[in-house]
Amino acid sequence: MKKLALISIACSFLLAGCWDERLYKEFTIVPLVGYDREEGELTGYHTYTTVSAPDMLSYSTVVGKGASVKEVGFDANRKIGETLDFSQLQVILVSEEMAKSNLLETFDVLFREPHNRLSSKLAVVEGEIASYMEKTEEMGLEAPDFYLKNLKTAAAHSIIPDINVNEASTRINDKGIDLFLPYIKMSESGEIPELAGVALFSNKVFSGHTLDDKESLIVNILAKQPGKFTVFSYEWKQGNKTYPITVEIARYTKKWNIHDNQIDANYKVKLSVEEFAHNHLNDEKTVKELEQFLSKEMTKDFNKVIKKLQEAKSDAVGFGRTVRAFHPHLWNEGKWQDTFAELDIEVKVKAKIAHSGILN
Amino acid sequence: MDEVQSMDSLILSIKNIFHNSTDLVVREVSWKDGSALVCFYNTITESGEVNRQIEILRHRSIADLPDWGNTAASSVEAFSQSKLVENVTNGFVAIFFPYPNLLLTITMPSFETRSTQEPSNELVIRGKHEGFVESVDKNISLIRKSLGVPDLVVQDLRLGEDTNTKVTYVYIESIADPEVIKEVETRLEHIHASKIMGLGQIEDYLEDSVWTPFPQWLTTERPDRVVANILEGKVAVFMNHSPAALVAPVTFFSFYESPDDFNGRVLVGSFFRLLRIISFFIAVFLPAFYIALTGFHPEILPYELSKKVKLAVEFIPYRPMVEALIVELFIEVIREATIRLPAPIGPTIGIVGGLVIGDAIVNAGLVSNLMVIVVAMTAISSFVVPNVEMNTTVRILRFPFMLAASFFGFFGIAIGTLILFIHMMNQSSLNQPYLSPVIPFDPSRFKNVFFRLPYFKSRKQQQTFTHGAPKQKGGGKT
Repeated sequence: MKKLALISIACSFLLAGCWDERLYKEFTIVPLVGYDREEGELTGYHTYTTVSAPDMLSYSTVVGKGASVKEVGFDANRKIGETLDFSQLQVILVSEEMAKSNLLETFDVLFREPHNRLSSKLAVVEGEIASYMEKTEEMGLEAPDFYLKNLKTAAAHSIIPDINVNEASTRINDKGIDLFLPYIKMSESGEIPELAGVALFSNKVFSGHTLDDKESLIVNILAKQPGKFTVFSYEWKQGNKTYPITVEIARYTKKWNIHDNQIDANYKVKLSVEEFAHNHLNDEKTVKELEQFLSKEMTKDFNKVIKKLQEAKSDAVGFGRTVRAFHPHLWNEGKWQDTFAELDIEVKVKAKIAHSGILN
Repeated sequence: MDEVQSMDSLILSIKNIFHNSTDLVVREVSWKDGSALVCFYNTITESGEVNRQIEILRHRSIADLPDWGNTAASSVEAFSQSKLVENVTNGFVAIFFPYPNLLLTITMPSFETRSTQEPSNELVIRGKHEGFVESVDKNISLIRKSLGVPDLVVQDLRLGEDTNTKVTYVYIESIADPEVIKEVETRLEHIHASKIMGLGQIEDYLEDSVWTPFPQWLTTERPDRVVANILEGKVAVFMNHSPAALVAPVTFFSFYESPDDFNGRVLVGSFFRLLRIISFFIAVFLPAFYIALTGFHPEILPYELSKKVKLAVEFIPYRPMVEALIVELFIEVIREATIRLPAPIGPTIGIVGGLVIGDAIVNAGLVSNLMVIVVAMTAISSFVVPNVEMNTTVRILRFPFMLAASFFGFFGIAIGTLILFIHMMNQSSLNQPYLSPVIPFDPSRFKNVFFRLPYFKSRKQQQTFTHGAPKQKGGGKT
């Protein structure tokens, strides 16, 4: 028995060994990749690090072509004579064309290889992907850092969802909720990529519809996945003067009443006023008026966004999850995205001013 | 001795016993009832003091006091040659009266000892600044000074046929576990060596297992440490002419306790004790972790850090293991050299070795700057242990881990850790479990290991070990 144990321990050493070794100096870090698909052929742009001199880290881009992500990587490897290491992948950009196929099937390798990182961010870009990969002068930072920082900041401000590869995969697999990814556009001058909002997916693939940044902020609130700062601005008319009012959502609750073919979504929002030059927030009447005004405006905006979601047949808010759980007859009516598009969804927002800053 | 022998031939024959050493003094002195022979080594006994003592004894004998020979410093017994030899070699003065055939011994050795100073390898900030010296009597006196109790038992025995070394063990009768004392006695009595040169040799005989890197006896030169330990029921072993004491049974965690903990504030003491235990893990695992990281698992690095690591390792010609060995070797050489260097130039060489060569070796591109940070951090962490023995143990331990990491990555470290802990669990100090309050788990003493708790809270008598059956051979319940 003792001998057997000794032998099995000795053999266990053979299970792993130097052949697993991956010396870091023999790899090159790839923090940013972009994929495009044209007529079935995949084109991958890899931004990788090169150390030209001690203390000098710079980035280059190499293009690979092939049928799959892995083959594209091998093709690129051959061109630069170094092994690309995807374990530090931070941002994956995909073209609109590419997003119209199931991303999960394309990025199978990310889940299959243990070294790969599932916390990479995903984003959809408009047009040719090549132009997004190069560092432009306006960026200031290297391309990978630029995208990473922009996506992180935007997620903190609730403009885009904080979705990485891992969460995207659960959303793609979940029939009750649709994926929406950050949508990046070239600026009008063509100099700098800009975060334009979100790309809406419908049943695993990109629907072709996008929302701008204000609308995507509302989707994030509807889905109750706000970032750290959620700020709205409206113009308030008082007499013949307009005052801008900026409010931040402090806390809010949602309540969905789901009936047959109708969903009443009620949101109670507690706001803290960040900017309001008209002042007099100690006056109850002003506050009441303001609350009514904000409730009306927000209800209007929220409903508009719901309409757009229904147009795109994209349930990014995730009504489907609740429906599937508590209203099976509604869920079983057919494909959820179709049912969702036909539903009568009405959002009501009740705003309440809870904080008014330190002025009063 | 024959009465026929004249005094002169007696002197000659005594000188013969000691092989005519020139520092041996054998003189005839006149006494009330005739002559006597005074015999001592003038190198280890003060001659002037001998004269004074003899004068006192002479007065007492003239005054015809009963038992005039027995005073606080002297005693009378029947003469035998072995007694004479033993007394003289130990620095006593022997006065031989041939006619009643008696031997009078005056206890007054004056060996050269240094004054008590703070031991340089166990410095503390608060607490006593005295240390043991190379005399067992002075050392015991340092302990008795702190422990005015009749319970404090001092026992000695002589070991080594050639060196005739006095070995003393000290314990507190009412607290110490009788089984432990018995075990120490048995082990000491079973030492059969012709020469006993140092405490390390005795430690070899007393240890449960010689082949482990972990010390099972706590070596200390601080009286306060010994006192605190014997108050917990441990036994301390001294050797004459050695400025250190061995304390057992100890646990692994005893080596991480310092008198500073108990003299400082509760929170501060707890913090530093935790820090020391953390530093054990840093010292053993940090280089292995770094090697595994750069050789096997770079994907666990955060993105920002991965760029720095990439920059650092890009132009290094060696694999991480070789790189680590170069710096480790370098630091060990500096450390070994600075011990031997004379005090005035020691720091200079340390600076030249550490800073200048350390900087140059990175600039030359032989090793990465991260590796220098890792190894330097490890070296400093290993010196946090308030005990020299454990410090060397920790320094040795990290090499097998580095090897395992370079072969198998984190898997190797995991297997190595497993083996290390199995090994530690199998260790014992005087048959008591080495990882005691943790394994076997003892909740009442567990928190004492990681925190220095306030004094007034502990009501029970502190004992290091709860009694249990002695360790079974081949592992098993302890």
